[in-house]
Amino acid sequence: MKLNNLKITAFRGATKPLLLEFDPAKNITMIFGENGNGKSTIADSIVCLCTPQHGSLEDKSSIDKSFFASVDKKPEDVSILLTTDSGAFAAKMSRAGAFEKNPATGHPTVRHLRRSQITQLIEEQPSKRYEKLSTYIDVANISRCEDSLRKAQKETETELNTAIATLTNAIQTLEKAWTAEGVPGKSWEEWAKKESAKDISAETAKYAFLQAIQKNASMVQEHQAKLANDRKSLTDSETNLKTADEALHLAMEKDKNAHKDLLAVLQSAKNYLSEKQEVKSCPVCDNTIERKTVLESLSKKIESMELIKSLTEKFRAARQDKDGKTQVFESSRHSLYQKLVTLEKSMAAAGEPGYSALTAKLSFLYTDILEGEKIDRYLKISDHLLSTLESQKPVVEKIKTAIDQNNLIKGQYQAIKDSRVKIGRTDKLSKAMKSTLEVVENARKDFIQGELTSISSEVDRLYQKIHPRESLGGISLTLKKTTKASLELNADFYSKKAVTPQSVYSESHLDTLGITVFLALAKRYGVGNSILILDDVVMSVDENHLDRFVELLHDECSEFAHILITTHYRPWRDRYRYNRAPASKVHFVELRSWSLDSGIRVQNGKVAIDELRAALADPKYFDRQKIVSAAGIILENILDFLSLLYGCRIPRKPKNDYQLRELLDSLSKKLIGALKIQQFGKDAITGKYLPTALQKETELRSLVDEIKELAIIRNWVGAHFNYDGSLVSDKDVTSFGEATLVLAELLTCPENGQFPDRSNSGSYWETKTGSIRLYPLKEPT
Amino acid sequence: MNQNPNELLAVQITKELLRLKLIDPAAEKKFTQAIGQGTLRESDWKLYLEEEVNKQNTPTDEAK
Repeated sequence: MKLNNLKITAFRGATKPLLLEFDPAKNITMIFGENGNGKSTIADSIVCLCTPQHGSLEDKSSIDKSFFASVDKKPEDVSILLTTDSGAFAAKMSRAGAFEKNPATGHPTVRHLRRSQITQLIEEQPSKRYEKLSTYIDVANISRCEDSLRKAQKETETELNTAIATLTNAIQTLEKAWTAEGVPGKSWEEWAKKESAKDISAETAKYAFLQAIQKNASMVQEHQAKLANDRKSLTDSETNLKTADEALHLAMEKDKNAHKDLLAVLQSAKNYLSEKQEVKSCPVCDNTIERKTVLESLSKKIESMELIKSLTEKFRAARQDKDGKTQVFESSRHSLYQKLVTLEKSMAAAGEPGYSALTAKLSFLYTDILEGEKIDRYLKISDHLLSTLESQKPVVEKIKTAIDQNNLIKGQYQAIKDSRVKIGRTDKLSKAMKSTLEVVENARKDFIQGELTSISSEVDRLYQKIHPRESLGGISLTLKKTTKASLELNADFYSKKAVTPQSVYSESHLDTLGITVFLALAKRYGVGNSILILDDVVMSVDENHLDRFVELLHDECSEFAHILITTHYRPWRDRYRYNRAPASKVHFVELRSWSLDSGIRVQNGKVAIDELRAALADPKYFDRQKIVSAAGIILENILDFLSLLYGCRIPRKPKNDYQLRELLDSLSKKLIGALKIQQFGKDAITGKYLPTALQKETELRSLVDEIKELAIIRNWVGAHFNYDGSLVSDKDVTSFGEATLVLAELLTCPENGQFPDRSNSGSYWETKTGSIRLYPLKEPT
Repeated sequence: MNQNPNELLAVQITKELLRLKLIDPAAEKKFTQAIGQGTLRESDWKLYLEEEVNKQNTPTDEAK
């Protein structure tokens, strides 16, 4: 799979839509940018698109989804589109902040390595260390099933224990009942079996009838008590009425002018005259009257009959009370009658001889005697009836006890049978679950350990590439058997074997150890089309180790569809720009300063030689300063390389910041005279450079001399403003640029862009691929 | 290596469970897929294992 381009809109630092074009011919992309210029935005966008993770935001303890959208943008503005030669993969963010992906599955595998992961892998406790690798050795699905199996096994064990407890309780209950019965038969079980087989439907039916009679008798008793109560209340209210009547009559006899009826007439007359203002004559005799005088007279008379008024009101209240009590009493009497009828019916339905006699006593209920009289007749026989029914209660209770006992035996005996079957099944299931859990757990641990062992040797191999002959290595990753997931990390340190590397390794050695662990894992589960993102992973690596690390990445890049490197580490960037690293496989991208208005600004960078070549070939604009400046830097780089290679004499400086003239002068005449480049061709079948296929041999003396002659142009045209620079012709500028370009091309491997820096032959320097040989091996004496 | 560890391990586990007669051979494919995809819940485990346990139950188990 090859990446074509990545389009990011409104995602984090991409305040303006960003289109990053990949070079389909190169499967390593290096994105260089200073902090805050958008490197992580690019890396995170691919992670968010292709995985459920959130990239660098993963390290934050709580992720606020609004952080995905750029400043002043809404979640629904966010979109990511990755176009590859295998298809396009898009993601849009919903208003709720979740990524909706199209297609939903089948994304390229992305391995995102951040510096924090490396630090955590090395520094974490073994129990947490495994978590950091768990996404690589992805057995999460199996672990999930293992957890559910463990839960199921516990549930089954609980079920088993519950069934055993039920069985034990049932046995104890039956043994107790058996003992209470006087231990009949041979054993409690035989007795229980026999008892539970008994048919007690007749007893159950009889009990139902008797229970109904008892219940109805109880109801009659209740209503009878209520009737007695209501009757007493009625009698009391009748007495009150009589007393009120007598008091009223006595008062009227005492005052012949006062009478309750006269009082009522006077009260009515007063009310009438009070309302009728226009009355002038008496409505009875038609004589002329003075309304005010009459009203005063009426008031006086009414006042004189105050006692009659009060007694009249008491009489009325007593009468009202008596009427109410009468109604209540009648209602009670009717209810009792209903309950008596129900009782009679239930006794008749029982069909028991003992109840027939009692039923006969109540047979009058169906005669045509008036209802009130029925009650009176009943009340005469009630005591006998109720006490007879009360005496039957123990009989009913006995039947109930027998039924309950039988039900208990049946229930417990059935529970024993059921529990035994359940215990048998559940025990087998529980054992099967235990065995299965053992299989799953061991298989998982063995698998992971197998993978770790395999990874360990690969980690060691990769580590030795970065740290050859340093007496380090022997790296082993071990999963503890006793815990679910605890990862031990050990390594050798000189004569000490299997030590914890954190205690003896330097920070940069630990960094490279962490990187190689992840790299080995990513390789193992790469499935061929994975994208490896190294997100600012290198911080503390020195020059030599950086070279080896870069070389390692290039050696391993064929294992991945693409490697995306982001870095703010300038030495790494410069190794590509100035051919100290195999730049030919690398698509170089430089990010300019980020701003809210412009967003992430991509400068599709070229290595310095390409820039010089482009500047020389630009048909529209002949940029003198650009050509000379680029050529000068390339020259300084080449000469720095050569002077180091041959140990040239040069005045020492504290910072080794030598300039072009100093570097040129460091090459002795003898050395310049001996410098020679041989270029070789490739085998058509294997594609490898053949040591026998010498294509061209070039002595460098004339080229170096030409450059030495023109080198002053660098300062005049490429570095400073001065009058001399104006006098330099375009032809000289071109010559300086072209000579530099020829020298750089002669020294650069066309395959991986590196200089010849290997001396394995013992007689010349050569590039890693064998494409170029540089003579001599040492400066001639 | 081009295999998903979950799927690889699922095959290993299924083989071992079949060897120990803990699951029904007829369910091999379905079981391997389910464990590899991580979709086996408590109730699923019970069903798979119960099926095989019940097969091994003698008729007297029920009669007790």
